[in-house]
Amino acid sequence: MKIQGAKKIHYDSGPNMTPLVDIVMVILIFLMLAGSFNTLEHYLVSDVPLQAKGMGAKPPAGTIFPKSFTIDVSQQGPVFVVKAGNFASVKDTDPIRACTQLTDQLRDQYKNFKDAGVKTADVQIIIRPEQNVTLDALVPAFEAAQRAGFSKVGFGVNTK
Amino acid sequence: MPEIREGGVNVTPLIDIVMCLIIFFMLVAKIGVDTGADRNIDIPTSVLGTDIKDLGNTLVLNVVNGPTGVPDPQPIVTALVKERGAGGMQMQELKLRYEADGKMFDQLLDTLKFYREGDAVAKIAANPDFKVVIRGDKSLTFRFLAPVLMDCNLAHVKTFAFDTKQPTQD
Repeated sequence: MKIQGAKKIHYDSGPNMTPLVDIVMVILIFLMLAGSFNTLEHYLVSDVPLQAKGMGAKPPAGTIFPKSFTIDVSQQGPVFVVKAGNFASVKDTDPIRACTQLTDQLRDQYKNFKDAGVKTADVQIIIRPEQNVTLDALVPAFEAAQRAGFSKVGFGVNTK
Repeated sequence: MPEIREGGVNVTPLIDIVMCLIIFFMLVAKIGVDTGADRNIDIPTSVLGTDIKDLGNTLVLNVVNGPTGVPDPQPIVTALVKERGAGGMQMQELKLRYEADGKMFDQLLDTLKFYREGDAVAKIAANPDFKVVIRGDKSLTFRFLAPVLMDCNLAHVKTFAFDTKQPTQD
């Protein structure tokens, strides 16, 4: 009997990984192509039903109307004019810059409400834009009210 | 000491990285979720904004300016809505005013009521938490937005949201 002193043991580098890599790559490419991401978008939410004159749903009986004020938004050529109640007024060609100024003025008003003991959560803001005002100018006005701390922000619609 | 023979290129780091990427995409990507949002619409920018986690309870309305110079201009509203009877989803234009058989109809209002108040035939229950997401173009004027908001009001939709994009860093 011939005894070999040391049999050579060959270790392969493991199981054949090629099919696994193929499948995994296909799954990866599928996910990259089919997937969609929503990281670049967000939403400005309003829980306030519309305030409409003339028609629309009637509020339920016994509804207590909170304190409210209006924000008028108009567009005079390239200038956006935003007026909130009788305490804030901003004019600017850039709607975002205009509404940054409006935010500061509304914050002061928010503080006034608080100092006066008014429940700020009940204060309702109605935005009343003119017909030609674009969404690009409306959204900053809407945002300014929410950034100032007011949570109930809605739109006013005049109906015939 | 056993002899270790190299069997080609070491693919272990590749598999590690690819597996990590797959897990990332599986967690982050939304596959097969079509809200009906029209990606061609240039939405306005806002700094503030919340993320609506559950878009299953919402209807996304794509709103753009309608033709002007006509007697009663109306916005062009499209949405991915349930087909009556068939049960599938279909991208449809929801006309705010159209005439059929001598009667005036408002498809948008009917659709909002269908989702909000339910439908006995389609066996859809009333949904008081139904929300509307308005995906309006930057240039959408209030003239065209107001009728959409008005229909939301008439359908007793309590919550609506504007779809906006986050500002870019540049």
